[in-house]
Amino acid sequence: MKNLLIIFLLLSGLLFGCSGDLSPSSVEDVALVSLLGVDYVDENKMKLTLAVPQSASSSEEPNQVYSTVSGMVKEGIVDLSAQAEREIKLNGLRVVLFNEEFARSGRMREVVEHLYRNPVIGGNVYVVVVKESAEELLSGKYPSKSGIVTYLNALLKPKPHNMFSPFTTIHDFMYTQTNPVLETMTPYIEKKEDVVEITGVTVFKEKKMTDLYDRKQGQLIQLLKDVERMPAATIQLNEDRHSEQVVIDFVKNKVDYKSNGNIHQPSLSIILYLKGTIYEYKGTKNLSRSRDFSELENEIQDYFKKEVSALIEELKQNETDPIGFSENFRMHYKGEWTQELTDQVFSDLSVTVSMEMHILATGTLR
Amino acid sequence: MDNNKRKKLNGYHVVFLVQNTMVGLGLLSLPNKLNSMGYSQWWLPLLLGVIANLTLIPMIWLFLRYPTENLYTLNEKLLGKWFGKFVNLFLVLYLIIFISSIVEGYLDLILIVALPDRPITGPLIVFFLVLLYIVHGGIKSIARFSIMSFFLTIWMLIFLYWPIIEGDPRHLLPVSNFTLKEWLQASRNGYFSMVGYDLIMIYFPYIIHQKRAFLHGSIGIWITSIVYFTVTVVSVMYFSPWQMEEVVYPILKLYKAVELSFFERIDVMGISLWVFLLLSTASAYLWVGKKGLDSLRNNNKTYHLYLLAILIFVFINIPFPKDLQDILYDQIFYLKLAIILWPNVLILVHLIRPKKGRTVT
Repeated sequence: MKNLLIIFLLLSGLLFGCSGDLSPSSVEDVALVSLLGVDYVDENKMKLTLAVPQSASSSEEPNQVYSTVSGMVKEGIVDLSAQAEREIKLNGLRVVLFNEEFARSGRMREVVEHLYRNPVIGGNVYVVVVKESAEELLSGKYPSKSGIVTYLNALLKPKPHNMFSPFTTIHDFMYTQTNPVLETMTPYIEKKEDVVEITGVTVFKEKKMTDLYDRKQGQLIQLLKDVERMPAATIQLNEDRHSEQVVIDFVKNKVDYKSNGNIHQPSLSIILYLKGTIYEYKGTKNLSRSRDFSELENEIQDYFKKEVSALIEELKQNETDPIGFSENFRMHYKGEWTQELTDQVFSDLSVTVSMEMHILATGTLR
Repeated sequence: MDNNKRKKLNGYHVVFLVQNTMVGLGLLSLPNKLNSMGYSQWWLPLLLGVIANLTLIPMIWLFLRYPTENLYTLNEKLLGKWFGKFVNLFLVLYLIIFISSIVEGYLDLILIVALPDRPITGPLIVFFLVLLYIVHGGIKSIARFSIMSFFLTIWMLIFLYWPIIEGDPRHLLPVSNFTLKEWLQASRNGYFSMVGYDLIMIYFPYIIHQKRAFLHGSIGIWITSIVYFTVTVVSVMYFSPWQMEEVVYPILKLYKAVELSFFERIDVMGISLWVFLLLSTASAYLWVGKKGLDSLRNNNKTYHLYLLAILIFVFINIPFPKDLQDILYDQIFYLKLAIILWPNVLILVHLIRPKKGRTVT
């Protein structure tokens, strides 16, 4: 017992390493950057914007925002230290915002790689693309919210109701950028007067952002990526005849892929299993009748089959595969898998979609 | 206490001594070391476990025939006094370099992750104080510390849950996507992390149940192999091929995936707790080094321990050119391999010599 005590006392001595002469003595002396915005200036320059939460209630503003133009991230932070009265630290970084122009320029990877390399930055830092300017979004006023830092943090936390968005962390970004079987996706946000909204998802082709998909397509992509929980979806059935509208709350979904493993004539069958409950229905069917009920199930199945096939067709036209269909062929392939093989498999791919839909309940009313 | 008794290590002590001397710093970068095999590396730790277990057989076989000898005294006995001493001197030098390499590797990591922009001398001194304190208690104190380290760190495997959820199990296929050369390179780099069980040749005379030492040693080897296996499987699932190649400490990134509402930066805590694993490894090696010095000077003096610690401390602080250091630490592999295969040489000598010995006595 005495021995153990001595060991622990000695080990606690290792904590002395934590006290250094030049290091700040209290939280108030450190500016812990929560949000980092990057805007496009020209081919070699970018504009960095940092948002730092104010620690004390001494100031009216909940956050401080600093901006500078520089060639590299570290250089910009050193520049900003000259403006800031506190030491700037990236340890508390939560979200990195890039404006669309910067994302399309293909330089996002170099910035994210810098952050990924930095050991003081945590792994769950989210990467998003902003429609116009990250600086404008960060320095904007949001009177009904408690400051942009808390607001964006909460907005970009994965929750069941917003799972149409991919919630890309810096790890995911680097993973998808460097994995030849799939392309990168990020959420796409817009500033609309005094709110910020996730309006869609971006898809990259290698280093550059190329396409933008809306929330509905984003949800289907997530569905195909086998995300377990999905947000509710509004479905318009029978657009040609009497129109019906259904709101499905998904309880569980699963997707199975079966490939023929042949990269010269690739074919893939996709089986989707969906379970959900219906809380809103506008139409002529009487859902308490089992015939109408199963008819509705079939209609929803057909709807999803059509939508998924259309989405895959669009992805093929754009030649980007954020879902990673070719992973099902890579796992049967001997040798090094390359981007060219992914492109070849994806362009030749023939897909059959089948689907099993189960409606579990229709609420407590008849 | 039982300091006067010669035999003091029970079965549990042997299991955890073997297990903890193997898991030092190697685990931190294992998936990166095995990278030449790409995604197919995940089953390699199991194969390395089999190899380790096979090489344990000659060690135990030999020392069961010399139950009161350790490797140093046996070297002198079988190879002659002067040649034996020469081999032992070589071993002690190797141990100094080896302990320096792991302590330095860990301190570099602490410098990067937990204590950036700070001088490392202070923590280094405290580290050595703890190390000396543990070794001072003898092999049983090291064994007990190993048991404690094991239980203080093994629970961290729970944090692999997050990367498993995010990972893609399809990466595990195809199983055999590599060439012979890639496999050899991965095995060579990976075996670095397996060594440590060979120290059983030094503490063998202290084991109470020597006949069951092989079983206990094997259990230790397999605990390590399974931990290694788990970590490589999760890494393969979680990383892209580029990340497998570029991320030097994959475990750090795996810990960074953890999302807990009440705890941030598990990676910093993990690396700090790693000091236990490192202390148990370094203390076992240091004790073995001290035994070596004892046998070289034919006496048992406590100051040998301090002498070794000072030599290691100085060695760490000598500003070697980085290239030279890397080459030196890398070439140690062949020495390690030689030590693991050494019992076979001794067995050969043993098989030739005894006839003479028997006729003389």
